[in-house]
Amino acid sequence: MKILKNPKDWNGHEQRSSERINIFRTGKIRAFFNISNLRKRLLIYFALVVFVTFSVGAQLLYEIGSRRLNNQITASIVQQLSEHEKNRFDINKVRNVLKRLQYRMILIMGIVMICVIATMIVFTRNIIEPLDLIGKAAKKIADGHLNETVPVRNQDEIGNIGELINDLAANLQEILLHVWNHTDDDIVLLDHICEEVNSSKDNGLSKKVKQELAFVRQDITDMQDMVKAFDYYNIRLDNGKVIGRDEAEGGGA
Amino acid sequence: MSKKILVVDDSSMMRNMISGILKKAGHTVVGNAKNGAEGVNSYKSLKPDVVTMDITMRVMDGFAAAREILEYDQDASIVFLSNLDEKNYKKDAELLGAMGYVNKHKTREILSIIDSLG
Repeated sequence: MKILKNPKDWNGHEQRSSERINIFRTGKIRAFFNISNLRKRLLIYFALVVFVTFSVGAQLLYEIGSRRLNNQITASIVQQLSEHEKNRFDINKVRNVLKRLQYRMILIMGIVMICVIATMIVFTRNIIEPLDLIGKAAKKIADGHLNETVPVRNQDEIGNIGELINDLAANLQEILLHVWNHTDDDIVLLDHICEEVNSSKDNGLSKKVKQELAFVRQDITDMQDMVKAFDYYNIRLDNGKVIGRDEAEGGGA
Repeated sequence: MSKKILVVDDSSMMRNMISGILKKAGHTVVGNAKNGAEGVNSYKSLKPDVVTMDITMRVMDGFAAAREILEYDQDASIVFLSNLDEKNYKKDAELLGAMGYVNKHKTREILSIIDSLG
C-alpha cells in the first residue's frame, strides 16, 4: 500500500478518489446498482445457476480430457484383452470417443446457457418489468398523481394488480371530485346565507352567526385546498368547476 | 317501467353506487363496463334499453364510446353521468345525441331522466 507523506499528495489522492466516486455516481455502474431489488435478486439467482452449471460442466470436461482418465480407461481395456487383441488395439479410437464426448458436453453447456439466458429474458419481460412499472406508477398514485395509469399488458395476475391500482385511483378521484362539487355548491349557499345575515337588522345575532359562518367557510375552503392538491386523470379543477383537460388546453371535450 | 340498463364507469365504487340506485328504483342492471371500449362491446352483446355513461375514462372516453354506440344503433338511449361541469358539457352531450346529462354529485337525478324515456 502506498503511504502518502506529503500533504500535496493527499490532496491529489483525495481529488482522484472524489473523481472515482463521481464516475460511480453518474456512470453506468450506478445505473446497474439503481435497478430494482427484484431484478438484482433475479440476476443473482441466474448467475448462480450459470455458475453451478458451468462449474460442473468444466469439471467434467477437464476430467474427460485429462491424461489420467485416458490412461485409466486404456489400462482397464488392455487388461481384459488377449495378447493378439492387444497388438490390434488402437488407443486413438478411445481418445476419439472421449473427444466426441467432450464436444457433445460443450454443445450441451452452450444449449443450457442459451436456455438460461432465454428464461431470464422472458422472466424479466413478463414479470420483472411489469412489476417495476406497477411499482413506479403506484408510487406516483400514492403521491397524489391520480393522472398516472398503470400499464396493463397481460390479463394475468400481474395485469389484475395493475387494473386494481387503476380502479383504486379512479375511486379516489371520484370521491375527491364528489367533495369538490359539493363544497363548491356549499360555498355558493354559504355566501348567500352570509348576505342574508348581513342584511339582518339584529346586529348581535348577525355578528355571532357571521363569525360561525366564517369558520364553516374556512373549513370548506381547507377541504377544497386538499382536493386541489391532487393531480387528476384528464381533469382540471378551475374556479370551482371540473374542466376536462382537452377543453382546458383549447380542444373540444 | 323497469328498464334494462348498462352502467359504464371506470370507478368500481361508482358502478356499484349507480347500480344500487337503479336497482332500488326497480330497474335491472344487465351489465357493467369499466371503460368506453368495454361499454361498446357490452352494448352490442346485451342490447340494453339505457346506457349510463361516464365521460372521463381510461382506454376510451365516454364521448367516443357514445359515438360508436350511436353509429351502431341510432336509437340507443345514452345518459351521461360525469363530474365535469354541466354547463360546459351538457350541450356537447345533446349534440352527440344523448338523452341527458347528470352531474355525479346529483346521481339520483338520473332516475327522472330514465323515467322520462317512457
